[in-house]
Amino acid sequence: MEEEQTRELWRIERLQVFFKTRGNDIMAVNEFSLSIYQGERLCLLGESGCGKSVFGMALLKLLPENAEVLGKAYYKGMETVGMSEKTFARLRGTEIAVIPQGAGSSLDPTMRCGKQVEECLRLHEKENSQVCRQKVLSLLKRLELPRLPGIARDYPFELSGGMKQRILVAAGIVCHPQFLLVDEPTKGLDWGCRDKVITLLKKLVEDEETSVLLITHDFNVAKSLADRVVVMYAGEIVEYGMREDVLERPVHPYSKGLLAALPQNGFQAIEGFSPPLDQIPKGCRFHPRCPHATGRCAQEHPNLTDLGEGREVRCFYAEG
Amino acid sequence: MKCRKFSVQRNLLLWIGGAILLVIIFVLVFGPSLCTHDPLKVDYTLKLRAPCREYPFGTDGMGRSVAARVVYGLRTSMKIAIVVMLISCVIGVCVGVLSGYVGGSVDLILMRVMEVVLAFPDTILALAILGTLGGGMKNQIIALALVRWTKYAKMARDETMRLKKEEYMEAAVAMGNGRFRIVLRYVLPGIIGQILVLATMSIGPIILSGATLSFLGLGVQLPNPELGLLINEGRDFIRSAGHISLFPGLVTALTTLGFNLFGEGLNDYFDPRLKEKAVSD
Repeated sequence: MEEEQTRELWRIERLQVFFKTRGNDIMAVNEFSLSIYQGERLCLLGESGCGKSVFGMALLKLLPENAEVLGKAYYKGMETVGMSEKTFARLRGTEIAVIPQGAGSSLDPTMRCGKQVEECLRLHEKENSQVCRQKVLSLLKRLELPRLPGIARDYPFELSGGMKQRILVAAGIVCHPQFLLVDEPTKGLDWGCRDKVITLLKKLVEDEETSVLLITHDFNVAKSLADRVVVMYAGEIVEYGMREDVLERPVHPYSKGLLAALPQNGFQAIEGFSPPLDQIPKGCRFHPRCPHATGRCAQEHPNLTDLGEGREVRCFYAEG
Repeated sequence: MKCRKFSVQRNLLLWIGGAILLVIIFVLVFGPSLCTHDPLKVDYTLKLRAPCREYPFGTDGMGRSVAARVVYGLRTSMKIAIVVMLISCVIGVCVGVLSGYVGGSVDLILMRVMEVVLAFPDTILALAILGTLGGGMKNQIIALALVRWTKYAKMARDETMRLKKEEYMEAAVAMGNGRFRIVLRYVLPGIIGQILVLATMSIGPIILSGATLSFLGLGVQLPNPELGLLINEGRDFIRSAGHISLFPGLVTALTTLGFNLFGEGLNDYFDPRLKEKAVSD
């Protein structure tokens, strides 16, 4: 059991993503190295525009054409950055699945909801339509959607945001993928819906033992779903470690700032704004906003330092 | 909700157009069995009769019933229009979707070809093609289809490019769909509404340009009846027996109007902005 848990599913080595623009290239993700293990739920935490979605999309090779990806990513030992689109397409949907962000716009408005979930099964498993439909219905039932089986025949516009999000969850998980990328599952949902979606998602991935990479800016979502948390700032990892460590005893000033900004901790916002990706400051990327910044921070770019127990942080003054 | 969308007040055009179309369909289907006169039978003793009970639309210069000729002429015109519509729709949608979805140099080349076709006025290009191929119904259909596919191509391309940016297209790729499957299952259903509207609206203009070509003697050949040809036949008698041209002309106008109104109505029906308005008030 112990060995099973520590098996590496993804090994990402120094992944970089550039966007080619008319002026200069913009670096959206810088030297991202990370491993994702089988059955674990990893959460990528960061504010909007820090490159977390770009990283996820780069992993799935879904970036637009003007993006350039450097570095290596191994999925079960297979290198995927240089892999041809055709070979990778075979992994998508079967072993690797996505629950996209934006419940409103990620469903085809001209296709019935049940059908959209079924599509995925039909593509990858050669089953007859009766079996597929049964599978879909039982999955929708597990997701506690109301009005079954009638809801499968509804079009997306007839559903609420939370229901649409659950349909997306169903479409992502219906083929029993080994790796699931969940991109901002709670975007645009209210509190009640959010808790429900997260609880159901958690239950499902626990049952299926799916590895999850969760992308979010929501501390509570990270708290209730993740095993490990990675905090990103301006395209870089600034801190990662086990959930309790990072979320309760953060080391990096940015993670500390994020935590202090939570309503229950007194709404103390971090000064300033995160830099646009074409104007990354020299030295530590966080230093202009950091309360503890020194002259060294403005000159040198810190590397990730190992604090032990699978914890690393990108700060010169990490006291551990 | 569904009843409201179809209600007469909300979609008057659809209903008027639909009513005209129903009458036309009725004439197309049952017309021949209602006609008591042979549209091709020449009888000089009956020539140039004014409309009466026996001949509701009168008779033409060779004593043939104008009513019967209009009924058969409408059939020919409709046959041409529908075949042209289908052919040009298929060509146009294929080109448009290919161009919009693949993009890049494929798009560039296809669009330049389309612009060459678009650069000529419709009727002139059709005339030129017909002049090269020779007259007759088959060539008339080919000429019209070669002119009209651009309309569909333009729309299909724009709509495909719009849909391509939607997030559910990305989701479809992420699901592991191939390109062909995405076009078939996600793009086509998304653009079919617009295409349907365009197809309906284009029947009227096709009937008109078909009639134009026949009027000029390049389309359907005598003695077969066709609306444009019938109008041309009455030209010699336009002062003495105007009804010979009048009735085919009226039927042409009415048919065109019916299809256009129906198309407009469909357009409103498929337009999401109008639907929202209907819900809010």
